[in-house]
Amino acid sequence: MPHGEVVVDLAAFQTNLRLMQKIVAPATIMAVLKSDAYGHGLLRLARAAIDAHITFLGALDIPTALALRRARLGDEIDIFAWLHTPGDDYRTAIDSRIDLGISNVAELNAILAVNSTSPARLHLKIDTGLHRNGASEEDWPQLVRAAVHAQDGGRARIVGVWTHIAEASEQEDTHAIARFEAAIALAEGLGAHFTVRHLAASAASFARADSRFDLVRVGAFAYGISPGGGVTPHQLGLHPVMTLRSAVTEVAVGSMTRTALVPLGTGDGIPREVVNTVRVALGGELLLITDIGLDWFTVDLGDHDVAVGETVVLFGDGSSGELTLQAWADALGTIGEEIAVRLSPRLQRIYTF
Amino acid sequence: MTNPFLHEALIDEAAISANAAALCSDGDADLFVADVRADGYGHGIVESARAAIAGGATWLGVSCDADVAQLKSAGLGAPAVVIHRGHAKQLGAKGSVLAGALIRGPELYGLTADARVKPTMRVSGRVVGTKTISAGEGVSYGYTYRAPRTTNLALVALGYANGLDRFASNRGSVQLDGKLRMIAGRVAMNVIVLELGEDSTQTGAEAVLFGNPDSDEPAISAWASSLGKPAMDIASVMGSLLPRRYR
Repeated sequence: MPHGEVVVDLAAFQTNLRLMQKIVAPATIMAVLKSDAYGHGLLRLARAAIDAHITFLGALDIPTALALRRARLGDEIDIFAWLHTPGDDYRTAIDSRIDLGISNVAELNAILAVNSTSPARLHLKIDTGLHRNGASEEDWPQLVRAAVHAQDGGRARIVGVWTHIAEASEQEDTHAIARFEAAIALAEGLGAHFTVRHLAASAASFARADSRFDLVRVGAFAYGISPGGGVTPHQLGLHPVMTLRSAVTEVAVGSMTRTALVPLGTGDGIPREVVNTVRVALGGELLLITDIGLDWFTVDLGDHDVAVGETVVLFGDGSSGELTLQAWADALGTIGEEIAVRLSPRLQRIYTF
Repeated sequence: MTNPFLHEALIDEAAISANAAALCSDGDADLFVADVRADGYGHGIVESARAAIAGGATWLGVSCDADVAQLKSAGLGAPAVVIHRGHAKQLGAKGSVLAGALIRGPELYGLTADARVKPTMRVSGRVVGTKTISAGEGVSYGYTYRAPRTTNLALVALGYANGLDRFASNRGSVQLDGKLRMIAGRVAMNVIVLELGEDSTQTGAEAVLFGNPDSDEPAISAWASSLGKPAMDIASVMGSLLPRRYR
């Protein structure tokens, strides 16, 4: 094999999507494919999602949304982009029927200024406490009025209303849901009508029926990544999608130690903190990583005999005795998403079904 | 799919050449190996190799045959050696060790404290939103930051998917409009929030994570030490995940 391989189990991804779809019904699912589908590969995962009957894709930004649209996934597929900068190609986005998340009047005006012949499809965002993007409660009526005005003039179509919650506590999320409902009521009073209302991402939609509204944005859980803090994917019925593997290139036998060299390192996105923290599966054993460099790490073999060329599984679904991504994340004090998205784009992705 | 309007890693090829030239005096230039592993520590293997050769490097240090193939297909015919934990081995099963090799990796990209070399990567992200919050209000997942008083915030398009460590949550600082600003709350996959206090900024403004200290930008070494990790880890990951631009 090349120095390292990211193996992506598309069947597991689809199984996770189906599970989430069953849990959140009658709401539907937006499969979130931002950041190269969390490092799994944008277009392959998009096709797998569509094969699993998902019709709404979350792209993050306009270039990603356009890449999805150009992949000819089907004109009926809805594609959502919500992080914009002044350099973005709104014209092509509107002409390509990309749904645009909008947080303020300035963004709306920039979108309307391109004078597309098609109406811009808008999802108006209210800030319910996360304080990232989204209109404040104070600015919300102004944003809604401007959008309704644009819709009346045929330049926009108000499709959705949305927010993003902090998952700080049950009670904080309850407050955010109440603020969302209040914002919707206010907007409807101003003449806006929404086809899709969406608030929840993976964890909230899994746990709370009142967070689901019409649509939930599923990222982490689709990739079999659980929120951590001791909760495993298996406990939630999710299947890990990504496996990272390599092969031994050298075995060094010293007087006291026996060490295997593996050709993956910090330059491939492996966090330095794995040293003396994380174990990898090799020759049927879980063995400790003892040192790391730019393009290698070493494993303490103890008394075990291992041959050059033998497969090393860093993390996966556990079927070869390896740790899960979740176990890595817990050991490294982070979340699975961070480990997955940091893996170098130069590592080959391999797809299984 | 990356978006160069949201963020970038700007690579200074002339600085790589100048660093190589400065490092040549460390020994025999015929044995100078420019370490271009890990995609040139995130700077681009081909561009780094070309710049280092222009600065006087003779050999190219790589990880594997695939690196050599990539260099050759870009028309770079300089001899390559595999860098193997401190030494340089010539290619092939029976390749011999290049005795006395002068291997320069992190130094070539200004990632060490060596005063002769300059940083070669600048990472920045755009402000994509601004807002004002009141005392006690939380920011980002888990509300791990609460505003101590009324404060302005800037939302910046850099996150852990771009290699900005989650560990920097409520810890790291980013330069915006000439001032260092604390990251308020958790680093998310695609965005961070900066605490501006009473100051304000504009959507589209450029926030600089690290760049050229000679232009009063933060040094990558400062960012690295705020995370307790070597600068080479930062450059190689961010350079591989961000859209790169060359000047």
